[in-house]
Amino acid sequence: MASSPHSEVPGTDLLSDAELERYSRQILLPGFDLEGQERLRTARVLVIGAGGLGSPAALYLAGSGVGRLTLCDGDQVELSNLHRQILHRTADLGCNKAVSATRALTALNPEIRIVPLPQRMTAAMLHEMAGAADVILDGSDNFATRYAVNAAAMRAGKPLVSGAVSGYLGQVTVFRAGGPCFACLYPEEGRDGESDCSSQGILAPLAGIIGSIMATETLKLLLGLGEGLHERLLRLDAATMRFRTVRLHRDPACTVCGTVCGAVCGPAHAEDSPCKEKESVV
Amino acid sequence: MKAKDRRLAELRSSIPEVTPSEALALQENGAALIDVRDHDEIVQGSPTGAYRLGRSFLELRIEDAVPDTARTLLVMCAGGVRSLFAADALRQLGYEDVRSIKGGFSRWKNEGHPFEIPRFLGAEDRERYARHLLMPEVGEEGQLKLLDSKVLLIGAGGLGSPSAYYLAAAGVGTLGLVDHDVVDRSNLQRQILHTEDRVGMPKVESARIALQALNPGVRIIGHETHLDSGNVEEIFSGYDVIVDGTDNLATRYLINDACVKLGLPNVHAAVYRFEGQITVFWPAYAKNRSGCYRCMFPEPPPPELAPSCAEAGVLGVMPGVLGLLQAVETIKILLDIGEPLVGRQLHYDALSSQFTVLKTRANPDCRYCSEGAEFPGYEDYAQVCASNA
Repeated sequence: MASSPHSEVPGTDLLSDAELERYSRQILLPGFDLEGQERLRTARVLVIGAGGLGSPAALYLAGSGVGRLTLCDGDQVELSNLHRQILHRTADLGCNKAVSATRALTALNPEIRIVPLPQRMTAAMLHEMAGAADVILDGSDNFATRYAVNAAAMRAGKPLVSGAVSGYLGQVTVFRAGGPCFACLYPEEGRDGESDCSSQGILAPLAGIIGSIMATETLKLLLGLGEGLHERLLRLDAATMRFRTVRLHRDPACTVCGTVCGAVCGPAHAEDSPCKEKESVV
Repeated sequence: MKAKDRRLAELRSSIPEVTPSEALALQENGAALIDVRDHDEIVQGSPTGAYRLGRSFLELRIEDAVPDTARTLLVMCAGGVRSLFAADALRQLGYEDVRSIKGGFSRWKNEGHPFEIPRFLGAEDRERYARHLLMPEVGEEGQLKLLDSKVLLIGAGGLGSPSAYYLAAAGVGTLGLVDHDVVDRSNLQRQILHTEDRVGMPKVESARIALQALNPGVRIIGHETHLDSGNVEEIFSGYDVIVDGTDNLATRYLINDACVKLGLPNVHAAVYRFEGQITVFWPAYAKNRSGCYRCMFPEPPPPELAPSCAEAGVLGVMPGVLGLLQAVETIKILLDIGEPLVGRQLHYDALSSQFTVLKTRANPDCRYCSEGAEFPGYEDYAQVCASNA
């Protein structure tokens, strides 16, 4: 991320007293400081999906003071969402999720800007939104959206924080232009008819763990802190609480993160799904 | 003779029939009683301890219920006819000793044998918890168990916010919250239960508003007080799991000591800057003997050596990750599934995105939890600041 000098970018004037109070506990952090807080204030994050992963991720990004959060979700709040999607309330049933989420996030932090996009995103819209974001966080629940978000992020050259959960199992990684990307990990061919995560069982707080780790990775990218999960896939089995890190490699034939932009890519070899965990990812 | 009757006569000649009294005796000796009636019949009553599998899913569910094909199966319907067809299907599946109960549930009930009115989730709860019902490890039985469970969270702050949110969402029926603070603006960077317009409100009250809005089916019990040696046992009694999300050492010792004394699992987490750790202290856990907090830290440090709460920074999302790990461990303990972090401490370093596990050991000389130790009593330590939640 670019540094944020005080005068060059709009909105980078000094933090107000209310902001200093609100963010005091993280301003105290070594390596964070006032500069880190100002950097977050000018940051723009695009969150795809205000559901199981997007709920905790967006709440923690909003709490931390990310200046502009754009939330895309075309779905409505359903009763079966509420066992894990804590952005929404029982009174929000039937309401669009991006709209419901905006209410919750504004209530937590009125100092930041939340932009709801209550619709299914086309590839063209995603491309435009990705270009305007510093980091993209994908908490969507289906392959079609994941491929489209990945392609948009890679074309725009923006880091993509990606997570998935099913049952007891969860995973998080960061994709960057130049690869490896989502399409290297899960080649697109032969995915037709495969079951999406949306029909599988999920241990409620597991979605929270993965979503909040996604928020952590997003903050690290925005602040230039620590070592990100680029080229590493972090996997969790919550039944045993064992975490494992798998090295990811670029698929040399992948044209999504390679030199030819935007094309559909991938050799047709067997791969696991982000919903179903297997050992054969590397 | 009708086709149905001809077939029934064939089945009667090959499938042994037992009376309800005989079935009860066999059940007491280890046979499995399979009630194959439909849902609307079973809600009126079903033999105590029966497997209620339903005729239409019988072949698909029987192996999960009774994996051993050598175990005797006693099949029951309402009057003893459907059970013959069902018994035949089970026999064809490879079960070696399958018998049909003569006269079915009506005769069982008339003869005064034990039955119960089984509990089921209502239609709305089936929808709300649909994603849990899809998990074989949770299912309807597990969800009912969660709804019956009581969890006490100490602290409605950084750690308590996400754990309370997700435990309420997941349908833990009773959540107790102990906190005597009011919401401060500087909390909102990480304490996602609270909102800007509830600054100044007691945290317990603010939490109740958020949790009931998410899931009105969960009972929230607020304890707007400070835990001390005089109230700790009274507050803890009746809870199944204690979740330690406190921000000071003195309370951590009190929680530990009460949990050891009462045999309760203590789901313990702490965060500091970009790091966090979680473990479950539960010396009474039958599957894995482990220690307590005092096995690691027998006494609190003198105040001059403990870091000051006010000076320690914390990345907002850190208590989020740790509080959620606490929520997962709590659900695992409540449902007795997986391996809880008993005897293991999980450490998260957010800067390197690494999770590591350390084994922890019981101190054989621990004054509180060692074998045969007599409870030495509670200590009200002066407030000593530790890591911040």
